[in-house]
Amino acid sequence: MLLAANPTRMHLLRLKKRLKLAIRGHKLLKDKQDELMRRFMDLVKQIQGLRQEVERDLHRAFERFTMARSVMSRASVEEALALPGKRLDVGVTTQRIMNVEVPLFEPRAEGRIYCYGFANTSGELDVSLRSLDAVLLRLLELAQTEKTIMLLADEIDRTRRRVNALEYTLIPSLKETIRFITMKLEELERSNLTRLMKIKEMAEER
Amino acid sequence: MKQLSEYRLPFTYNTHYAYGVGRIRALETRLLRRHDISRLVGAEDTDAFLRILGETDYGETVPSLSDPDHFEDFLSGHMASTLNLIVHLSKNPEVTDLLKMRSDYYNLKILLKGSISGRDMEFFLSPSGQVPPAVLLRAIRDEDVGHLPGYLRQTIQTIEGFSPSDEIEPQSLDVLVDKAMFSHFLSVVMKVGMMFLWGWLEREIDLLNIKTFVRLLWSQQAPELLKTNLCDGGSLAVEFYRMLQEEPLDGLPQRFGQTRYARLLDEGIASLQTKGSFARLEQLCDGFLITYLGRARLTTFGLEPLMAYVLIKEYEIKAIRTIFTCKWNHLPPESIQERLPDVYL
Repeated sequence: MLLAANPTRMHLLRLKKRLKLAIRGHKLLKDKQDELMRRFMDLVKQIQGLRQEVERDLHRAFERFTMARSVMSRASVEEALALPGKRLDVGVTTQRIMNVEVPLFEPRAEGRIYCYGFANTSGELDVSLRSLDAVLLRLLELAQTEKTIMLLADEIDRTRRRVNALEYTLIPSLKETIRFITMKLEELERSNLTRLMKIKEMAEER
Repeated sequence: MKQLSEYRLPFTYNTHYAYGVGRIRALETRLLRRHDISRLVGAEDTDAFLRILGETDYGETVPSLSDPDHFEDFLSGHMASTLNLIVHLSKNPEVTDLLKMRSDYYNLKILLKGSISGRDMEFFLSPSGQVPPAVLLRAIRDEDVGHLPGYLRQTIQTIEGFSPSDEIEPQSLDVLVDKAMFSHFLSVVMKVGMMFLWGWLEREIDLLNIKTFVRLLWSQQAPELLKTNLCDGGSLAVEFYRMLQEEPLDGLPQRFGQTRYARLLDEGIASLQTKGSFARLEQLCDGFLITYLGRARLTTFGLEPLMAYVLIKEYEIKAIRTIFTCKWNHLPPESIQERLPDVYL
């Protein structure tokens, strides 16, 4: 597609500068896209195992909780867990990966997970809480990595659109416009030359 | 030479409970039998479960199930009516009131936890206690315990003496209340000289201490908790457990070898180590206590059969809850059987 431009030498120079810049930008964006993809794939590989582990452990913990719930009355469960003994604060800061701001969770836990007496509770409740406690930090790690992956995926998508726009729209248009202006200028030059030759011929005849 | 009449035992049977025991003996025939439990365990789903339950003594009030919470209310209702019956039949309110006082201790825990956390927990209060929940609630809210019965007042004072109530750890709070409850029950049972209940409480405390000890060892909680979390009053002194605190789990059955709990520890700990589950240990503990309660069948007249009936009914309701919850969550029958006392299987 031709860009709106006057076929002048000045415009040609300007367009050539733009083309050079676009080619350089394209290369940089392409490199960025490749690096983002590499990091993205690393994280995806890393998270696959983590997600499976977390899902499996959560499933086990909930199964154990159901078992505990089956041997305790609803009131006993509510009473036992009414006042949690462990407190978890999650601080959220950010870090930059290829200029993408991704979250960094910093969990701080204090207190004990076992917050109940032993007379009216089942040992299965201990088992399920221990499993939940063990999975909690990995759950946060999973959340952090998944959010990072989502943000990287967005950035990859955005970068790919830019690369494609440069590669398939802007650079071809610039090239086409440059060729058009070059041809137009050559055409002008040829017509000038022809005109001058004609004038010279007429002058010689006189 | 003595006359023959002097060798005869005086006729001192306490026939006060002739009616009560007769009634309980009739009700005992309606308790769930092994085959009832087996049918419930084998039910395909909760609908089939309720249909089978409807054929038992629970048939009149089996709820139509739209919400599992209704089932919990249904079980609580059954337990409350059994308690009321025993209190009605009792001529020793001092003893039978203990059954209701357990709810007072439970309510106290709930209200203290509610006041510490600032959460409204009135919804969980049990109406089956000796003290109406509203009275207890007002006393805790206004910090005026003067109107409460002595056993609750003393418990609150013990907790306040241990630590300011808003700084106390929830586990310590529960343990202090449980200790106060067992100590109170033991003192009442000792005062009336009821050996059957004494034996039951002694075994209950022993088993609670054993389970607590195993749970603390398994979860690797701080050894100092052993000093505070075990209850006095069992046949095994608290010192005995303290001596074992360095013992590995698999060494425990041997150390308990000379006690009556050797078998259940042997099997329970083996299962804990292989399956990572307390189910077998708890199943054996429940079975042990149910077997002990069976001794009340040998008593012709007295309060023992009444008390034993309530306690056995509690285990029966626990078994029904276990089966129902497992059915509701589509757990296999094997998971249910692992959690029911042997006497039902």
